[in-house]
Amino acid sequence: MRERRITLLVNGAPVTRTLAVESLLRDFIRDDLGLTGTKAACDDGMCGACAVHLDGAPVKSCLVLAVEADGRAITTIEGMGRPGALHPVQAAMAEAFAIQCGFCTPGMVMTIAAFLEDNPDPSTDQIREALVGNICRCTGYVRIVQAARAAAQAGRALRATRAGLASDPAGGKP
Amino acid sequence: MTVAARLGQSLPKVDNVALATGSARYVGDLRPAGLLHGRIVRSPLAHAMVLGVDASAALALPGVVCVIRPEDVADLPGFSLAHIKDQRVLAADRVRFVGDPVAAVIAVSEAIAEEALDLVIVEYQELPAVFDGEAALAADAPVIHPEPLDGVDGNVCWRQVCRAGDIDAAFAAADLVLRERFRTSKAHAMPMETHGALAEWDAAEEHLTLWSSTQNAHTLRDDLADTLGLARSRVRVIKPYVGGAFGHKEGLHSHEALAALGAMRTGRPVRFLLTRHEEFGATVSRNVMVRDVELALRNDGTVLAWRERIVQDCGAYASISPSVLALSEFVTVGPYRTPALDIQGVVAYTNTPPAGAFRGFGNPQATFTRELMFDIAARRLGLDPAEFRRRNLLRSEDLPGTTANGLRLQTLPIGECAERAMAAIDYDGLRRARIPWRGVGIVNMIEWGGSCRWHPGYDADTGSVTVTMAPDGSLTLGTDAADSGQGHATLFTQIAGEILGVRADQVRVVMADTDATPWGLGTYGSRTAVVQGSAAYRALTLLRDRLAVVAAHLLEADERDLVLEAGRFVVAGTDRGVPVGDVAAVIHYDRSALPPGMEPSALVVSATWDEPNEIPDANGRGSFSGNYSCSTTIAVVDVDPETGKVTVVDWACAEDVGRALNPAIVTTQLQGGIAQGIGFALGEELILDESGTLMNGSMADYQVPTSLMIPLMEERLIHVESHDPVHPMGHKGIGESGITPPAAAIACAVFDAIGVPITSLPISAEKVRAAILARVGSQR
Ligand code: FES
Ligand code: FES
Repeated sequence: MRERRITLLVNGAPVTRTLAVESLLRDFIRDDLGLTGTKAACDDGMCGACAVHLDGAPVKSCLVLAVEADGRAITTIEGMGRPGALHPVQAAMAEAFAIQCGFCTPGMVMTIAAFLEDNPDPSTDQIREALVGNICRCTGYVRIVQAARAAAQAGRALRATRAGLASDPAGGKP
Repeated sequence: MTVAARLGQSLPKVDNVALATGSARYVGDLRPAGLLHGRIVRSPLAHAMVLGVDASAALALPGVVCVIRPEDVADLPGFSLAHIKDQRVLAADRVRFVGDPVAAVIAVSEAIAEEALDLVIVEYQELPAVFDGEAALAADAPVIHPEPLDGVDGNVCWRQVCRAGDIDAAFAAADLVLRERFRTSKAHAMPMETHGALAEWDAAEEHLTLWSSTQNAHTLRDDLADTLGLARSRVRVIKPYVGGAFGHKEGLHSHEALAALGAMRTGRPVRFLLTRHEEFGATVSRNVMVRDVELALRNDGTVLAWRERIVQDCGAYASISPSVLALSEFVTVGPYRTPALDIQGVVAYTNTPPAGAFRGFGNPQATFTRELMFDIAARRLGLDPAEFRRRNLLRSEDLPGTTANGLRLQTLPIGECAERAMAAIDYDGLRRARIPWRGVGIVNMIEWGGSCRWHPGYDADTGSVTVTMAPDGSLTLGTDAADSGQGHATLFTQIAGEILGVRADQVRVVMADTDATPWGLGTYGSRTAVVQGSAAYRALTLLRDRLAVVAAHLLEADERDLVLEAGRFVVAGTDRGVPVGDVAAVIHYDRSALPPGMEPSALVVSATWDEPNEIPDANGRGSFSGNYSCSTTIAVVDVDPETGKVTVVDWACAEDVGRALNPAIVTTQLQGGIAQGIGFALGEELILDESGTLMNGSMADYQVPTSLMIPLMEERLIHVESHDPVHPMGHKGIGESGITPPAAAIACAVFDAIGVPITSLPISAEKVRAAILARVGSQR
């Protein structure tokens, strides 16, 4: 088993670890870092439950080797919001009753948050397209799409009041 | 939050923050020190004798701690979710499907456990296998369970009839008799979290703890303890957060027993997490049913009689398939006047992955069959499908009353459901529009709106709640109910707010922990709100009465004059009152302030609800559920005539919910169920090759609906409130209501669009295209 030492930013904090070169980023996050909010629900990159941000871009962490994150920054669901200070997407999901069992929720939050960064005013169909790689077996997606719409609206309102100076309250991303 | 949540409000889910932030722990997220990982060696053959298991190479692999072989568990008794105890922890001498557990490897990492799987050498002697329920009933079919089993005869696992009225006279009087064969598919529940269990054995205390992704902590505890030969009180089952269940996380499974055995043998915590492939191939799926129907009609569309023969495939093990067949038969004639029926069904063993409980539990198959049959009849008679149904629906003058097969109906607002669904989607306008390749399907269904007394082995249909009030008036509510996303903790919080005026931040709900919560059958069917919800109502009402006695004494008032307002007992019409928390403190601490003769005490009240229903008789007659609900669903689809692809473009559903205790949760339960039902209708099906090997056991290959496949239904999901008199809060169970109608509604809509009924599920693009081509061919 070949090993390698990597250094990366995890939710803003520097981390150095030695790991097997074939470790998946997903398993590194869950098993080595103990950040179990990131979920594993499939073997073939189809479910999206493992989505995280790598240098701000959404990735399915089971499709990325941990060593590829060397020298980069990852944000997991634990870096998005806390009790009392939820990320706007988390708050919107809660408010819209978009969370049932919650197993898809971390991946949904990561996917939607990244999507809204690039698409602050998406149409409903664009949101549905954006979620196509994230499976939810409980909700039928209706309320998740609603939550994404609400979060987009809240984000636009926030930006308007802060005149474009808003920084991400979760601190996970620039 | 300063005021108590009440019933009828859409209180946001109380576990939202844990779920949204990823801090909620599922069984795969637990990280005890010294954790070992188990994997199961599964049969590659569909039917074979197991001649021997050689684990020496696996044990030689560094990191492998132990291997559990069939001979290690040969003395353990058989188990099952229901009464036919045909499963073993490991297949003793015979494997019966591709995926049957043969041995287990326990290692220091999942990777090593996986690597060791191939090093366990199993010697098999292959046997002829059978993969189809009807073929399994042939005289020369290989017998899958030759061992003596309760009531099993050859490959006949179970027989079930449902008969009423004079069937022969009804057929003799018919103007028209129609015959058709229907077939349903082997769909899989596919919760996002696969099954998993983690066991810890405390040798000094002789106590086993099992965290499991389960729906029934107590019955799992009982079956596990019995299997291991431990007193039931020496086993604690805890349900952590569960990532969806949908009926197929019921009862004891091999991996749970293997985790326990592994922990007892190694002295370390042991976890088994099923892979997605194992989840598809080795956990229960929906029963395939082949249903041959004969329908007797008058020329005006009146249904006179329904005759049907059903062969239901349960796969290699019975699980709860007998009950699936029974319930399917009991609801077959739906919310319609049907004077005579004769349904005879057989559950057949085959060498396929076991089938059993999956949300809907036999009703999706029954509803698909009946409603498509009705459309075939309506077309034959030249009647609009809605009009054909209207002529046969149960009417308000039939209520309260008893159906031909003995269902006691109190409220069943099916006429209102039909009217409101049709108005919501402008049914008449859709009919007039006549857009080519667009189809409209309208279907009705009846559903057990309560819980069902059809669990062979129990003449009890119970759930329990214990409420414990702390001296400050805050409340712990413990129950056997096992949430897997439905929002149970939120519901119990609302019930507590309604009855005791406690705020959400004063309530802690503990679920499905056998050392901490009272015994009950757990969560399945649509039962939790009606069974454990009614138990909570009882327990909280008793607690309130106990508090009121003391409050009245403190206020020097008559108990009957007290009202509860904003967390205080108040003498009605005055401002004299005492906070509930002060009353609770007095009860715990202050004998001198208590009424004479009363001693200080803990404030603990338990209550159980046994659903008022009955076990049907030998003819399948009886009211198996506490109450019944109904719905009307209208689906609008577009068919692409080139490819046969079906797209759902609009949806309306009016559902009898009794009373919506949390309207947002009701709506989202319906949305989720409808989405699963659309998947069942259009594509979900486990496919086996000719050797019985699963061909599509991955998320890429087993396509559940994505965000693009589901219409954004919201305002056309209508709650019809019939205020059920059976349950004290007036509601009905709705957990399964969403998933049942879609296959029927889409089948009827596709029939409307292409003029040919697709009588086998799923309604794949290939079948639709073939049907269109055949029709075009026949018209030439
Ligand atoms: S676990 Fe990564 S996509 Fe499913
Ligand atoms: S909420 Fe359960 S999978 Fe999405």
